[in-house]
Amino acid sequence: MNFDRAISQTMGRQEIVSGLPRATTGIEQPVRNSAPDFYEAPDFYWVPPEKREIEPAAGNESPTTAAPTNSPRHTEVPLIRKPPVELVPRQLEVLQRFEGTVRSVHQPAGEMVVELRDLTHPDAPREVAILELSDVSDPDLEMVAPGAVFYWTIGYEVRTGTRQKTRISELRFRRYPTWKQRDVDQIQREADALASFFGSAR
Amino acid sequence: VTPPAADEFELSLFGPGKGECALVHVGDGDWIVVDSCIDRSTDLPVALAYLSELGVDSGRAIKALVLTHWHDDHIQGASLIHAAAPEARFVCSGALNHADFMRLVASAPKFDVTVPDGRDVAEMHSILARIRGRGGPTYAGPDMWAIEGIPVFRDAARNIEITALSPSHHTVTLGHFAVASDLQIEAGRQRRRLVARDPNQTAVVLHVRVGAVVVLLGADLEEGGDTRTGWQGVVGSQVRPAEKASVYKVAHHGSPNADHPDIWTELLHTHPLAVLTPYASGKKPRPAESDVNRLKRNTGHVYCTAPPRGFAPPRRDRAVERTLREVAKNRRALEGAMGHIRFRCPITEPPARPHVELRGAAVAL
Repeated sequence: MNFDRAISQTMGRQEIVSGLPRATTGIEQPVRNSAPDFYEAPDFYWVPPEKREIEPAAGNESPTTAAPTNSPRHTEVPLIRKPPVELVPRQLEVLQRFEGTVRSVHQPAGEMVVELRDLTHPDAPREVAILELSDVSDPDLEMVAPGAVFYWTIGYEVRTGTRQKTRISELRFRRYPTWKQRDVDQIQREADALASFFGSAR
Repeated sequence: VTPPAADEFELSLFGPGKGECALVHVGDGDWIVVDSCIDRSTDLPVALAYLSELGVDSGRAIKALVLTHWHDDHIQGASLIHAAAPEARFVCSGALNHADFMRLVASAPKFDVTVPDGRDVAEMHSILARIRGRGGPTYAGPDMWAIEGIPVFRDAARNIEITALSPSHHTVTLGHFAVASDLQIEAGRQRRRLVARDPNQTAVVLHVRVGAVVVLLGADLEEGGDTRTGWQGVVGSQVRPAEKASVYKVAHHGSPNADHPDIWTELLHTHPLAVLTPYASGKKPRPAESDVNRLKRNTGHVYCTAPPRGFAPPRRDRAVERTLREVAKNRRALEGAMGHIRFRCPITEPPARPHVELRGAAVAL
């Protein structure tokens, strides 16, 4: 669980908004952002301190990323908040899951052709579909290539308190482990044996 | 369902929407299997299921198994056929007999590098490892690695000759195979599944002559605009048989990149029987309407093992359906009911009028 999710799950939205500092102290804090992550706090996400733009104090015209420790504004902000009792305010009601494999990527069109295997109904036939690259989250975009594997979850996100439902669709790409030298050596030995037996060209 | 008579030729083409398998009865109960796909109703290779339906002993009847290329729509279940018919000749593209391909094959059993069912490179590994385990092919002749002009099956007494028309020598010389390097099996590099890209220049096209019947099986060979490779390489080959075919298994699901006007004039009789399988897995399903129109300009007898536009995907929960409609475009099921096109005629006479039987999802176009 990353920090922003922890924030979203342990603090109510209003509490965070009212407590937002106008400048940072170097401690990780939620910052308003215009591109919310679907699963995370809709209105916030974490920005590293060095990337935060701080509204200058009166008389100081240039923005800075280093907050003065003697600023009265910072001394007003509580740095540690007590989390509420409820730790998981939302639950996911999964209706459908697919395992997908990227067959081809079409950059000019911003699309990818994928094959889908139904994990919810394993007897269902495989399907092919075209998905928009814009539906892939930014951290996963670098993994979008032929052969990449992802999981597509469709369902409802339900707030445990109010039982309000939001229909969701989430693509998450699988990060495969890396090749180990031992594996590579084993493959090469087997390949050499086959190539030698069949007299393969090199 | 009755098996063909001893003196009857049969070409059966199977395809469920994604996948292809052809069976050729060359007479006297002997069969050649070209490529393989799975029948979802039995989860068996359709070749074995069909021969069983005919009451034929696959182990004795299959004389050769040819894998035209190793794309997953042509190879699924091939290792089961190979295991069921241990005396059958195994034939694949000579362009694959390369150390790079062996490296790719060697990676298959250990790692999740294959397309979803893990059945393409792993199928090749299973077959090659079995041949190696036996100490070599159980038959004589340099016919395992097909190259243009090489007979992959021959019985002079019965006037049977099946000849490879591709890959061309030039294609093999080029080492037209870059998949192993695509895989990038290097320590520290992230693994991923393999999606085969462009080995269609290396596919094995077959010229099948059984008595008076001549058939051209086009595999997925593409036309690359080079007179020494692809279909131009086949047409211009000095070592190919001269007889024209009256039945054509259309190359690469009717794609325009696998067509060339000379195929229809130099390799085929006029208005041949054309049969093909669809391919639902691409961005554009094949054959597209333009492909069908192009084929029908060359012949009035075109049949496909399944509807070209693919099968409708199954219906799901209403909320799921709404989301799918919003997020996914051109969604379609890859596989449906197995389609079967069957053509039979006497071995001793050239087929005067195409007579085909359509089973399952097969359609006339």
